[in-house]
Amino acid sequence: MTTRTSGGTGPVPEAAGPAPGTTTAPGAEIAEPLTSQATGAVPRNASADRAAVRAFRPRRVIPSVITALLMTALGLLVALEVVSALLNRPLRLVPYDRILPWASSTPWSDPRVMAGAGLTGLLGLLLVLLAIVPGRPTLVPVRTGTRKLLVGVQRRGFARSLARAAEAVPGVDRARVRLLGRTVRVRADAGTRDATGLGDVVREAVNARIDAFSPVRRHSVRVRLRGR
Amino acid sequence: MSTVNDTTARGNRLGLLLVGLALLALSALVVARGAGALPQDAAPARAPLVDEPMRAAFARYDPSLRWVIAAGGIVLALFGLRWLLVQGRRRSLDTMRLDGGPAGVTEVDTGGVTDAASAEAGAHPAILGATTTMVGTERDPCVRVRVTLAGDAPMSAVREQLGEVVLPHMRQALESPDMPAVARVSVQDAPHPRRTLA
Repeated sequence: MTTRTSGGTGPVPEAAGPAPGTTTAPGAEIAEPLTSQATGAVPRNASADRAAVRAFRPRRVIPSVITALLMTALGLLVALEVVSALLNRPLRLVPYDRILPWASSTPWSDPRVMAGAGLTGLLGLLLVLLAIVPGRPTLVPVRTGTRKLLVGVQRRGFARSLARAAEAVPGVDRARVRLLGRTVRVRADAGTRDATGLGDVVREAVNARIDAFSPVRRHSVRVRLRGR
Repeated sequence: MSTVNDTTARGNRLGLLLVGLALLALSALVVARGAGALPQDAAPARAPLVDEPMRAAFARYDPSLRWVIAAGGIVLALFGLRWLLVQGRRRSLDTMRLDGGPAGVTEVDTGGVTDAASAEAGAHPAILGATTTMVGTERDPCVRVRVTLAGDAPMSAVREQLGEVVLPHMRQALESPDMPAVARVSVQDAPHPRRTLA
């Protein structure tokens, strides 16, 4: 049996119970039970939320390294070839003897030239898109209510925590969670034949756990339940 | 707050944007010339890539034009090298000078402060470990914290322990009341709720 249910996270409930902020010595007993019901009510601060999202945007290191390497190689090649030719000791790393006759007989309207220009344009468009598209945050930004403290949670740990919340629901043997953008996909194995309503309970449990994290952006939860 | 926003990330995006726009402009010019969209008396589409006017220009300005091209190549390579080198840059802040008034200045080793902050963050029972470092400049310092949170612990533990205990103490110690912090939280896997032995 497979059941699907979906829905978004509700409003973040107010924090219940005393704050666990009281510092205790390392190794001390936990003063309050750490349950998935514990939520952190964080006042919404649009400026802080935007700063948190920006702080955990992809840094575009790999495309930058590739582009910088190509720029360095091209610049060095041009400089070495020209300077060596000026000093009457041409390196000839580039086969000019073949390129110059071809360039002297090939018009700008040649399909190969146009295709090369088209590819260059596509590459340029890709780089522009990499520069301006924000991209998926490397961590899940969570609300703090202040720009002076920006907090992000590793996506894998976030997903694992949601899976554990789903597994805590009576009747669920095992659950796996995948984050696809802002959609949380839960695949839960029901340990019982009659799983009526179990999908909704799992979704509520996962939503409660999401609320406990107080992510900056809303997440929708989709539950896929597999029965025995 | 420039350190929070990560200057390297902004530089990467700016660099990619500039190179991308340059490639797009080059592509547009070549396509426009090849398609005959440019004035045919000045830039004919049927002319070869290397034509007589280009040869004449190289001959007229030889060797200065070639030196200019070589200089352009060197500048391009230097930009590329600089871009590469900043990728591994860690702007760690090891010492900070505090204003001591007329008596002089006090130089603080931030290592002691960050060690104390890491211990203070880890003192919360829900926080299994924390590593604190200082980055940025004396005028624009920033705290970076890596926190390992217990799998079933509330995120409010991190917010409260860092925001209400650790950071106020660091700001007070370093006399930087507006010092921002960026925390990266990893959540330790909690045991299966019903597979745990009582």
